[in-house]
Amino acid sequence: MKKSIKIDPVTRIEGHAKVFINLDDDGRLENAGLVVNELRGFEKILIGMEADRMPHVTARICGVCPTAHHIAASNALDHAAGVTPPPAAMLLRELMYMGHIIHSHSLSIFVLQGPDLVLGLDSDPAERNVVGIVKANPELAKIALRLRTIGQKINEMVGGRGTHPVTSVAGGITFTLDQEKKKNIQEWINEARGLLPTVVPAVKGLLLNALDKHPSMLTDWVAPSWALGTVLDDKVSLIEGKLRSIDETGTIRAEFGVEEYDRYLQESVVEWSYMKKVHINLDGLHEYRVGPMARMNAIRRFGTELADAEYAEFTKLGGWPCHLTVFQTYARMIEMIWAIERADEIINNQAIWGETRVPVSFKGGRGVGHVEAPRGTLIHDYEIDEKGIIRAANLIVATQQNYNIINRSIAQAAQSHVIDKPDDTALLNAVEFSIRCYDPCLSCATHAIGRMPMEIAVTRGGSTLKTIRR
Amino acid sequence: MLPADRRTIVVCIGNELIADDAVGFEICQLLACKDARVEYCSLGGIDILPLLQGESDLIVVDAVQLGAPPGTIHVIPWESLPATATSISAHGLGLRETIEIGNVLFPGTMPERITLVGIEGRCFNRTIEFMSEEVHRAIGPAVKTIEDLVYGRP
Repeated sequence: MKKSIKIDPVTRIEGHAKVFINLDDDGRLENAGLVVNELRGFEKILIGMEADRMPHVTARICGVCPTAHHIAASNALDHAAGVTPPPAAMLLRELMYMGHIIHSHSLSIFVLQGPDLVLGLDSDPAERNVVGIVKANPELAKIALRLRTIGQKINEMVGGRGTHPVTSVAGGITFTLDQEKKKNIQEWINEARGLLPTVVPAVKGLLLNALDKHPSMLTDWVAPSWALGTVLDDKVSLIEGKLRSIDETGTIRAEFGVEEYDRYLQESVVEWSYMKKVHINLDGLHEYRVGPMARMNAIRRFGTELADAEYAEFTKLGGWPCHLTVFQTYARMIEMIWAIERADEIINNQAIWGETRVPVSFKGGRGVGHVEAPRGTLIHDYEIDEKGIIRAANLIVATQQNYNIINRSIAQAAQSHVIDKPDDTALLNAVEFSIRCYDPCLSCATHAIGRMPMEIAVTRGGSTLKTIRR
Repeated sequence: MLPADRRTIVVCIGNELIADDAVGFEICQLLACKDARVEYCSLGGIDILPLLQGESDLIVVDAVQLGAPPGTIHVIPWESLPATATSISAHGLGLRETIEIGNVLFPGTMPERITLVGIEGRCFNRTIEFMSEEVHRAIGPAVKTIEDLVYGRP
């Protein structure tokens, strides 16, 4: 049977989710997915620019994870120039990054997913937003906002700017630490640590409560898949290390340097979306997950006391490797705990006082670098000519890699909420929630104002059954 | 003269690299008002809350799209702010939600009066050199409007 899927250019708005659910003639689910109309024009915009500008320019790709692009670009330039930044530079980049992770994860947990958890999936969408969560639980909201501010202050002090940092450069970092700055950062870290005993049980309680109310999330919303994360010294690492890939049973299938990514990761274009899908290419193509839960599944160890203890709790509840879609919120919180502990380790590491830059020149060639962005592995790949000009660029972002699994989760939400169920609101809520568990970038711009602008097209036997909009 | 019972914070919002969205940043550069604390906050939204320190007056300066001709300077008290008109959509939380949250969480530091000085923009998809002529011309008058507000001049 012939299906036609129309992508309406009117919906090409950042943050506008368009979802399709196709049923066969008998009303059974055939396929479902998310259409993304954001155009990643940056790969073309960068061509012709001086390579040194990449950490500044690419940070502007995103207002939510600018520091991820900032550091990934710096790593790629180090690789292109064949230099290794001094240990102090890597520690300072990582410190900036821990600030970013605290900021981003607290936003994601509390502002984006919090309303679903605190107020429940079935609550009125008009109330199920960040204003609602604040009214329902003001003390938790205050802590969440404070954590977010602390993360941003660390990011801003080391990065030179809060939202789009500027200090990381090819060969190192231009920030230099002094005792006054150290004192400030240490105070912020201490304050964040002090908030953890309140915030961690609260978030966990909300999650478990949501699972009590919706037990189908534990049985139906399970998406076994491969996972990709970064490992250094057998611990989770975010700005340096090897990429490790595990299969759905947890067996390590590959460990490779990011410069080899194109041997293992295969991008492909789909006709109905601007976003390219990515598979792991290893004895066939495999769908995989990136992000905090993928990192935990793949690496299993943080090397800090509180995060490792909480991860042990996580595996008791969610198993290993965990494939429960809703546990991504829990994983994000554990990573935030670790980011606070890790920032504390870094600021007290004597090596942080050393040299912060090495000279850099580009002799022509390729540079590949990566980070683990808050939402998953982010790769920057540049071709740089002998004058230091970018001739080609390829960026692989987290949401692209999660795309296959996001679509699978939408299908599961559709299966449990659309088939033979006439309730459009329940469908919208379930689909929206399943998408948000991956915290894709399109959700950040929109959900906070109350609800995700969304259009769901349901077809049966090739003809449109209904289109639900809000 | 500054009214004795007033302390004002002016928060200017907008991306300094984007055509008409940069108007908040440009105004921020020109505001040399000794009697108000001036802050630039590229994204606005919830990041405004930590800036507030118990001032009596908050003036938010941002590009807006309310359907008026480009360059129009809107002076809108908080009470009259349209529910849907919260500057540029992608800034996440709108001013209205931000203030609502602030009133619940930090009643002690929230201002008594909030005024949006919105400069009607047209071009939000090109870089700074494409700032609309009308918006560019509105920068000076907008600065004066803000200073009048700070000094409580009618």
